[in-house]
Amino acid sequence: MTGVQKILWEVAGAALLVFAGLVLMENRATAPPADTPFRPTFALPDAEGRLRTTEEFSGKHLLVFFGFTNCPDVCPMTLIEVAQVMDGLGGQADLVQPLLISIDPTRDRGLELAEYTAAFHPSILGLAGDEVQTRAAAGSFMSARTIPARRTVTLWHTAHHST
Amino acid sequence: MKYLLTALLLSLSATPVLACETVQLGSLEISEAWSRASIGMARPGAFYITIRNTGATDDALAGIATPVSGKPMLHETVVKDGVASMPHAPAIPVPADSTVQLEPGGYHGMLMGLTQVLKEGETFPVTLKFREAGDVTVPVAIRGMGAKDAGCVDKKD
Repeated sequence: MTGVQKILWEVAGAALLVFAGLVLMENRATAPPADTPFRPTFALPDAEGRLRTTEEFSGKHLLVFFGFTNCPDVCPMTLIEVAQVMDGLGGQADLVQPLLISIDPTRDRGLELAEYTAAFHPSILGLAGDEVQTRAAAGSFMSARTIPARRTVTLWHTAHHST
Repeated sequence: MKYLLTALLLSLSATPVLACETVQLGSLEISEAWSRASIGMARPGAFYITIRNTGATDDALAGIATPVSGKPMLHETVVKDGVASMPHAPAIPVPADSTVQLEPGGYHGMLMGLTQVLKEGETFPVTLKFREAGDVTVPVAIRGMGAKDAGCVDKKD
């Protein structure tokens, strides 16, 4: 097992790994309902290395997908869905920022992450941090699992497929 | 048939329409073989196909081989409790009188270790290894990265 794979399995074991899915996050401009403990945050670099944070997208809805680019079936499917959602939004698409947060960041950084996300939809922003940043982001989103009635798709990272 | 297979193996630029044609192997009707374009060769590719068993004997797809992948495998995407996993499938059952589809979100081929870039509009050969019916090589159409199916006009069940 490589170091990356170990890290990924740790993440997987610690937190049911990842949830890839589509989490429509309430923007910070609107006060969240008092009974909503879901306050995901992230500070992760994009493909060019610029740090992007939750605050930057204040006022927008975030469509977040935790995934990785090294999976041929379910990850493209999800990104295709994201692209369809963005196209379907038409003039309201500006209100939504789709994000792919990599759970295999070391490898994804070296794999033209921006080119990959753009191939599905130009609006999708790929983020790939280090282990600490990724854990922190994933951990904050994990709380969403306790919130009912949100459409989430979870991705189990099959790191052992990737040698 | 041998001639056809040889021709397929030699040709990586056959027309995409081939994917929509049906290849017959005994009582198996094989169609809609497709994949998605790749960016480079670092990520694994996917492989999808439809297999219809019109016979009375159960069969199974036990493996695949292709020159474009150093390690092609069969996998199944299983979603349970909102968690998607992709376990390795030792074989994909093709029961008598039924149709099995390798399709997005279900059974699929995972083409590890690509040996070439998969370019939209081109094709590559994949050899299917069935337990009962034996081997057959079919052309696989490479579709765009956003493709969800083989894109055949007359889609078979």
